[in-house]
Amino acid sequence: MNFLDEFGLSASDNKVTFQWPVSNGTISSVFGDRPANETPNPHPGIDIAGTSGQPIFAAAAGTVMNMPALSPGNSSQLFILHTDGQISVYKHDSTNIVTPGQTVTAGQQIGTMGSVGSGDAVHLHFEIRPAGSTVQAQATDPLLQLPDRPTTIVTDANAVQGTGNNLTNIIPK
Amino acid sequence: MKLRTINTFLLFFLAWFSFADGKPKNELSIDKFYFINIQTKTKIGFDTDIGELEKKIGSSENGLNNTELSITWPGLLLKVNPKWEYDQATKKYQVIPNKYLISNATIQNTNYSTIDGVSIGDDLSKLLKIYGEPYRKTNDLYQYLHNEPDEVWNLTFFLVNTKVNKISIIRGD
Repeated sequence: MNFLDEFGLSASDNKVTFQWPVSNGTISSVFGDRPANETPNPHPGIDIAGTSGQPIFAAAAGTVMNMPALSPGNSSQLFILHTDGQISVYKHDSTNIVTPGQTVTAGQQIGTMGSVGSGDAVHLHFEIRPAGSTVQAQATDPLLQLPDRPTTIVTDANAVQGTGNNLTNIIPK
Repeated sequence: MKLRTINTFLLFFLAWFSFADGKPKNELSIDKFYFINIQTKTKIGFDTDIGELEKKIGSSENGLNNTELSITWPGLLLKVNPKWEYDQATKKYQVIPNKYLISNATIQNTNYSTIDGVSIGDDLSKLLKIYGEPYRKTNDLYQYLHNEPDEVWNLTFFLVNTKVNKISIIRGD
């Protein structure tokens, strides 16, 4: 599926600049293999723990995609298509305050943080998927595209103990 | 004419190569992510209803642990998430009472096997014969993946001295 065509957009050569989707929180899980607990489990995004109802912001300007409000695994989800074809993904939100087809600006509030579809505490699962991606495992490490972490976003010591492996060996780029 | 034929062949080759290169490696099909209760022939997977499962294989050991979000039978541990629904009008998510989805299942005795017949105590050679080379392997772990558009599933065999001693399926986000 060509999402740019679907939304009447044309791909821009200019790569989008992302900003943090929350103003504060704790990075509780990094991209790649999760910390070596019981079962290594590829994690295609980062988790930022926060408080219930905390605002979630669009990481860059774009168009809200027409995706089911719940994933097959029952996680709430919100997708934003950006002008370079990349897609940012926001999961486990307790509310979405934007609608499919709506254009959003960078930093605009799009929802609130929750734990919908997650067995863990309240957190935002944030992904960036490259243009043309078809499965979640093609997501790239958001930390490579986000600016330096503000002091209000801290890192859980356990989170950085993950291997940090990228997922390119699951799906060749 | 000859040049056009060569160009057509080249384009076909490049298209085929691109397609092949984009396919996930070592990917298992979705129907592999089930366990079987050997005595009752009951399938247990991510779409299994906990209430129905109790009717088929008997009562769980202690009922649902609401803190851990887990439920156990001898040799079987299930981790679950509440099932949610989305209300378009209020744009809010609500838990459906007493409905749970399995996110993680682990078997640890011979009452159970994978749907393809691998059980606790089986040798690594049987595992390899049935599933082939894994996505990830160490001396004590063989892991296979399945990619959904919004999830990565894994089937993991834990080994002790080349014998299977625990098997898990995990639906990750």
